[in-house]
Amino acid sequence: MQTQVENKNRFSAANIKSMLRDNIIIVGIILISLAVGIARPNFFSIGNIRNLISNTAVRFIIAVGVSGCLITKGTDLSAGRVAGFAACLSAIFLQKGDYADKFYPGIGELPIIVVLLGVLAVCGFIGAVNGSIISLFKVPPFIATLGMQTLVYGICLVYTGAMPIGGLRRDYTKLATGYVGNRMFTYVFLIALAVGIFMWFLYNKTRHGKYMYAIGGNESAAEVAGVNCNKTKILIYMLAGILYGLCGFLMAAKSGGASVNTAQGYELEAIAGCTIGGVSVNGGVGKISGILIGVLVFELLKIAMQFMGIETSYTYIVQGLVIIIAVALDLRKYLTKK
Amino acid sequence: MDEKNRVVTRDDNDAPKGPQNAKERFYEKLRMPIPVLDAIIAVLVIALIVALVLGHIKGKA
Repeated sequence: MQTQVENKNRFSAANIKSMLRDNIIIVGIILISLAVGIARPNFFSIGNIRNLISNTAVRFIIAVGVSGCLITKGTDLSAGRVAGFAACLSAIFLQKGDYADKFYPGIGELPIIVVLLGVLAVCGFIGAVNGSIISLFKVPPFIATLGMQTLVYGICLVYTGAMPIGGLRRDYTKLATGYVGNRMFTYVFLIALAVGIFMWFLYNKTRHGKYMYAIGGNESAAEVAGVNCNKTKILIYMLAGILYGLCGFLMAAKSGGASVNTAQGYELEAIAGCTIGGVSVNGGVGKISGILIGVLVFELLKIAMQFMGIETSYTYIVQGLVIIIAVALDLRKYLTKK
Repeated sequence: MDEKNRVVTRDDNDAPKGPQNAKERFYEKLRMPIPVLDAIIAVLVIALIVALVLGHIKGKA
């Protein structure tokens, strides 16, 4: 009885210890960042914070797309390549009219919205194919999306001829550099914010969101309860594809160009961000706020390592270890519940 | 009386287990005591700190 009373107190020693253990990665990275900020005062400069927000915004969009797949006990290894393909498509159709190496010299300058909708449609189709293979043919998501990753990369290589694409229009690149009011509120940030609000609403206030969590929690029970699991999964992967397309579109604007290697490896960063932010690889659990924190903290770690002067090779080791620790903590939570 | 005072936990109301994905099947096979897992996590954290320190030294060199 006494234990129940103690546990009801949110700030009891047991609850604080449990909260620290469950969020040890976030706490650790924040502590590292504070230490770096003290050693290097310009770590907390406006320019650096703006850079952090800009990098986080793009990766947040892709992570939110992947989160739907993780919540339904799946995964999507094709996220990075699909975003890269979207970046290439966007760059190809939004080159300057008078650019010497224009990909399609005969095509004039298309409206940005038309290109965006076209890119989103292509990526949504790729996502729907992923979802169909996984739900209708019961192929494990790891295998299906791994195959799609390679397929999309091959298509992108063939289509672009492995050449980088540049000479983008100013009105397109302005999407990345433009801002509203304060320079902190760039268009990319505002778009990511809009995506976050929309996805929060979708996950928490719609039937689709409830079905998604139900499938992640217990697919057989969801099916017995009348949820169309196949249709829901296809929609989840299709929406994920659309979000990767948006991410790629913004990345090309941000970089001023694109190549087949744009967004390479982003799916792993997205999955890492989701896992750090509390999206369980066991399914059924995950919040938009958690994903944002996970992605932000991961980006903070990368920037902190740059400021610490850590050699590039070691930054990959550190990122890999952070991901493994996040998964180990997730396993620990699962075993503790059992 | 005992029934009224009984605390209902999540496990009591859990739905029957559904089909498990590859990760869950792996987790189920992994008969690892939690203290051992804690030790592994501690080793990983130490490795992380060592990687940060070594990376910093190499970066300065």
